[in-house]
Amino acid sequence: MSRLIEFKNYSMGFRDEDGRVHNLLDNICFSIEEGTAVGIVGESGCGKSMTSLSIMGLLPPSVVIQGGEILYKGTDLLKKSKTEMQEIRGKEIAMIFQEPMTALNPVHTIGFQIGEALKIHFPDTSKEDIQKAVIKQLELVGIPNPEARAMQYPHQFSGGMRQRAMIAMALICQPKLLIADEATTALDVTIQAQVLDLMKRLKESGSLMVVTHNLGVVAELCDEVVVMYAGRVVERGSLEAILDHPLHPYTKGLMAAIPTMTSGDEELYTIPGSVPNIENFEKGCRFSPRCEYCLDKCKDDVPPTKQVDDRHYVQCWLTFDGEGADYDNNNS
Amino acid sequence: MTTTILEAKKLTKYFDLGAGLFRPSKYVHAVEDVSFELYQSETLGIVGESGSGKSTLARLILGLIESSSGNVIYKGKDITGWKRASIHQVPREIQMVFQDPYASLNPRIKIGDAIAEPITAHKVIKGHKAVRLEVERLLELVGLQPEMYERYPHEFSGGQRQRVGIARALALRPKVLICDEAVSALDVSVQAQVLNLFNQLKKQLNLTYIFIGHDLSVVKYISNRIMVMYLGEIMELASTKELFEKRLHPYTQALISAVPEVTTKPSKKRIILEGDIPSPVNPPTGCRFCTRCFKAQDICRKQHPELKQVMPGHYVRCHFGMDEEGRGK
Repeated sequence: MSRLIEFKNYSMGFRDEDGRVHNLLDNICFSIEEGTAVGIVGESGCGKSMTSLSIMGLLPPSVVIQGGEILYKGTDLLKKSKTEMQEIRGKEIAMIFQEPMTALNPVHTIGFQIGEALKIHFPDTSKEDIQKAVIKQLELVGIPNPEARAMQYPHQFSGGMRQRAMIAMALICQPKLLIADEATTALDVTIQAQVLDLMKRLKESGSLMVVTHNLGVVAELCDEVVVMYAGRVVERGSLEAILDHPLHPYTKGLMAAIPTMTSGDEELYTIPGSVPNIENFEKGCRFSPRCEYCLDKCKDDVPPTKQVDDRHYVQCWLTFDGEGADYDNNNS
Repeated sequence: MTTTILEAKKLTKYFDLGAGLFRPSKYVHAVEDVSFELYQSETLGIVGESGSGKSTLARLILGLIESSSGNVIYKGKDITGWKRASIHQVPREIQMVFQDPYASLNPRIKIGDAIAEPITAHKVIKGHKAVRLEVERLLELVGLQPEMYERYPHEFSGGQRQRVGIARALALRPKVLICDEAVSALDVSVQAQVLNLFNQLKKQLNLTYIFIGHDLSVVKYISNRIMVMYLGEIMELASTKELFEKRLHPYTQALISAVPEVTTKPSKKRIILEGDIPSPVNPPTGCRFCTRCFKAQDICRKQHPELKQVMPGHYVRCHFGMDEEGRGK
């Protein structure tokens, strides 16, 4: 297996009106192997969407990149020019957004919008071939009567169908990596089940990065999980490691706070306080004000990322079984 | 013995889409023939997908919109719609917590004043000082500091704003609280705090809840009984335990099986429904669910099933949901 995407100590922040830069993503390290599905989990404001937009090179103008690399097949995406990124975007790496209504253009037919990527990335393709590819793709994502549907406009599609059309659009150039940013969040459960089923089938054809706050969706689709909190990767590992043996106090708390189908009516575990705002992140561990195991040094020093098992990493000052040498030194 | 505090009797709401020049008048069948009883001190969960009429039902109960037909009985009194005579008496005891804590607070009004507004409007407590004391008591009740009276909504996080929304709903000392997707907009870690708060308040103030949500695991956690709605109709109504164990209606089965679970165990066979929820303008004839049902027979497309009591307290609207044998695997 080779690495498709690798984040190496990537940091970025936002410049405010006064010119000060507030750091959001801090020393992000994780990788996506070819043919695997990785889930990025976290609450609002934890930087999960910024992580996916960083790969796509679609960051808002107020963003300042503060260091590190994002390697795609060994080359740094951050060093690529605008035109080089245009080559990659849509062809090699594609993205599905949360809100299919705003992501689709209401004045073009669905078929035109799906075929557009093909027209741009493979200009030699004939009109007939594009048409054929579009219909095949619509069929693949389970849209009945694809010939007629390709001629229709977004408003004639229902929510679930629009999301399928978005997936078809993302997949038409057969990208190596598909990023799904909260792709099922706006959908009803029964429609979500349809889309998850579809995405599970697509996993065979490439890598998948699922950005979500729903741990259930991650459990359904992913092989590996990256847990983010306030711009840092607090824990990452295989799905089994994260769901069955979570180590970081935040991951543990998050899992305990979710009512599941099997939980009884005892009081839910709660993490006190709420997610911090970018302007008041702690100097040390960003979770420390809400952590029940908080030590003195947690407040002042950034915790090290420790390897506790093969491919299981935790960023915390606490001691864990099987912990090895520091994987990387965040203080450097 | 359980006493009924609120009762809906054949509540129906059609929204008129208006007639065109060449087309007859069309109606959105938002809520149709919904009857249920709400017992004192229980939490009744209402689940369903978007367009199933959950929110319309809540607004009908509160009298925020006029019903096309049917009645709402509160403590034996008919409070249907805009009956001016009773509006100052009854709706005070039924309050609502809304979904979006960002949209339901005026950004230019201090949160203390926002909570005080219903108190002064209904003249529950008179005198400036007394009102302020009451607001501070309410703030403490929902887990906020009384000093927060002077702050504006933008200074609060989502979870805190939802607490303000709850405090405001509690200001008139209601007996029944309708929570319409009250935790849906919150982060997971904050959602647990608010759910616990709801349970605490229920015990402390002897409240009765109608809890509307689309997240089945949340509704299951908080509710004693659950009502499953689809296209404006009740599909199944039973105690939480029974609903999840028996799952008599095919729609309930599909809904429960569609929830992705946080587990590494191999997932159970999932029922995946075809297509989307049909338009409530032209609901399917026969059973409303027949277009997506995996068990649909001819009779389902022709004959509209009635809501039947199959076991004590367990109601199902299905031609085949009558007995244990009939449900199939």
